[in-house]
Amino acid sequence: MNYLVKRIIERVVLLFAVINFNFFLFQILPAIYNINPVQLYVPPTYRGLSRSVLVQGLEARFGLNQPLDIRYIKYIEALLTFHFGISFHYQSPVFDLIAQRFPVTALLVIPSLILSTLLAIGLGIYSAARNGKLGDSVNSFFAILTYFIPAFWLAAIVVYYFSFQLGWFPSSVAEAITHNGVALTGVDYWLNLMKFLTLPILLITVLSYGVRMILLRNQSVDLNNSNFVVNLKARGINERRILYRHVVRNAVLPVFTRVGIDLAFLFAGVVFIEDIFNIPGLGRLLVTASETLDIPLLSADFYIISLFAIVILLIMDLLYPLIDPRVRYE
Amino acid sequence: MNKTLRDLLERKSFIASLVILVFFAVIAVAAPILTPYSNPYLPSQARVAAPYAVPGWATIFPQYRGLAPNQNFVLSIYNVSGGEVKELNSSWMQVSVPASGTTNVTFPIKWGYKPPYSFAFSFNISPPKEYYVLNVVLWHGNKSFWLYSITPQDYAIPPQVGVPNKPSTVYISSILLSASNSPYVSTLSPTQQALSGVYLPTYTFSAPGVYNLTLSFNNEGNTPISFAISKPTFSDKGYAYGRLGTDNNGASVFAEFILGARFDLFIGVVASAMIIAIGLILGMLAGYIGGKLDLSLNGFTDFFLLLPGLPLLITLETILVVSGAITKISLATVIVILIALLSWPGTMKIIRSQTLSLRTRTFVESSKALGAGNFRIMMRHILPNLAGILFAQLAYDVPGVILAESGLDFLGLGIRSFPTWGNMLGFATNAASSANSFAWWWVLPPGLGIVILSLGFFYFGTALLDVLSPYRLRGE
Repeated sequence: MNYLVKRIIERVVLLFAVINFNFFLFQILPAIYNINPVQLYVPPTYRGLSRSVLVQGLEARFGLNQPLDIRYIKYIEALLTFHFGISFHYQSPVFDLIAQRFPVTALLVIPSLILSTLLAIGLGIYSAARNGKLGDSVNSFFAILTYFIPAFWLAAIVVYYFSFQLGWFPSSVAEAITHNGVALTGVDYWLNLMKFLTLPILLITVLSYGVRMILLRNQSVDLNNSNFVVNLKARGINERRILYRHVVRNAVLPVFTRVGIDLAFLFAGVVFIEDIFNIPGLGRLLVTASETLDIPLLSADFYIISLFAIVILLIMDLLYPLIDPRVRYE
Repeated sequence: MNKTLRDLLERKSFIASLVILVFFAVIAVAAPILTPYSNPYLPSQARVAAPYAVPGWATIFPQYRGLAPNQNFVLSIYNVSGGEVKELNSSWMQVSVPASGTTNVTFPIKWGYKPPYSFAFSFNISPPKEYYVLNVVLWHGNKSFWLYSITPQDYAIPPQVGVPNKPSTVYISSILLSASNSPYVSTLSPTQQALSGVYLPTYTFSAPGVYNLTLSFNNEGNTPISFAISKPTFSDKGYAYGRLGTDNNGASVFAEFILGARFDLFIGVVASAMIIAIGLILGMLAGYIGGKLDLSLNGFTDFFLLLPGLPLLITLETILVVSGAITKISLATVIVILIALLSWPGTMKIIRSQTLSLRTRTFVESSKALGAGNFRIMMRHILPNLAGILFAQLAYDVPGVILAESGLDFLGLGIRSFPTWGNMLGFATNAASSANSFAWWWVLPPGLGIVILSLGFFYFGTALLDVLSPYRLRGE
């Protein structure tokens, strides 16, 4: 239990550091460089009011005219209460914005995470069983290849062929969830939405299975050379049985850790897929916020991502003894 | 070293990666020789052929068959009616026109393609003092196009040409012909007049066949006159161009590709060198010194790993661009530095773990026992043993940098004014979605370039790691 408490404290300290860094990044750094983010949003003149008046008005509205120490307290308060304020760019509450987009991205990330893990385990076992043979080389090569395929490139090509040329999939969300201009409801809605999401989900799957597959393969190959496997082989136990019962069971553990890390970061990491497929998800929200220096949205989004990552990592810590009986927190 | 080299050369993956890296390095270094263009995104270097021109070799495919390439040749065969032509030298000839007569010099043009994007004729002419009208007519079968008329300088009707007895250049281009200077264009409907640059090539060179350019010299006076003219040059810009065709602005994709390779390779190597430098310093200190320093440096790294990379990169870039800090250093430099500053944590972790394992080796222990200082041990014992990993890591980091930079360019937040692979992809996919035209010769090269170059670096790094690690650190 001691170890777990230490772990939790470590992670909370980390989160606190991230929070402070975010404050530095979004509030202090612009102040150092003398940038008033509000000025990015103000037209030269509006209804006869001068620019400086408009800036002052916005500053008062978003609390940017207060000294940094008060802003810091308000910032921490906002993070603790989840009242993140109003977004500059979208002009609506930040919490609502994130809450709206979270399920969209989840619909994209969770199925592809499950699919890619299954794919990684399947192909990883295939490669491990044929270690050193042609099948393994080809398989591993394709897995490594996927590390380097720019998502936006492959996605653009796939959209062009499958959506525009062949017309197998709807090319936009609007096209998917409406029929003759009338919005679909119920089962039809979900079926068509999933039809639209098939391509992006498959793309994320193909582009992200590689790391986990290579991890599983390398772990299995290492384990194959370990003493206990040699011992099992010497006892004349069927190779297949050794592979499935002993090697893969052990090799799968780091893969699950990796899935946890991927889950934590994919939510903000599917920017390019969302961009190409025009899906209003968290990734695009974040990129828009960064482009427009939308400070309330940025600080909240960064905080949520870090919080989410830390919670996931903590859950992984808690789950690990259940998956791996050798690990025990005494 | 010899053994190491032999070990490396025995690996097929190493040879393959070496071939890839050498190929791109040669392209990058030889870019100024391989292409005459320095920045195809400049308007002055665009329109070298039609927009979306396919690669020249693609005309072997049925759907692109017959697309016109860029051509430029002198029309040297001709026949004459109603006067005399004497060749002065290989390029100049003298046309004598009888009093009140007309001399027609007809140059046949063999045209074996579909209509070009644009065409042009040019020749030098040294006109006589007397009054004349030179009509330029293009004809094919029974269709004729009176493209242009040339009159003496003091004539009331434009376009006049040159000083008598001095050569001046006549340039007749389908793009520059309009209702005001071309009799044929002025017979078109108003809409077509406005778009004569588009319609003219399709009307004049409508199909493969022999076309004739007739220069009709009309003597308006009562005395015989003679012109000295050079043989006309015919040129056209076609729908098939070069090795990799053109983009939506008609700029050479091949030039963009190799300039992009040059740029991407350069920033990839520079940024990874910076990543290695940061990773090495922090990783070696954390791994070797250990204790509280290790804890804090490791925590610092974990903290960086927790931040979302791309949005952080964009935010920092936005802040720095807005602030005007950018005026002193170029955007490319800022991007490279930012990428390096945000991508070192993975490298640091690896170097740290390797240092940790090296720290407990006997040679370090013995060196310590002999009273060597920490700095000396790090420099003399740890660093040389890390060299293999450092080189491998350098190779491993390059793809990450290229992908990050390309992603930024793709989103339109990076370098916009110069062709990088990311920019090419960004513009190509934007054009594909808006115009619904998918230029594979434009979309595929940069993406394949990124993938192949990254694979090259990856396998290069892997081979180095396998061979150079003194203790076979991989998988240990």
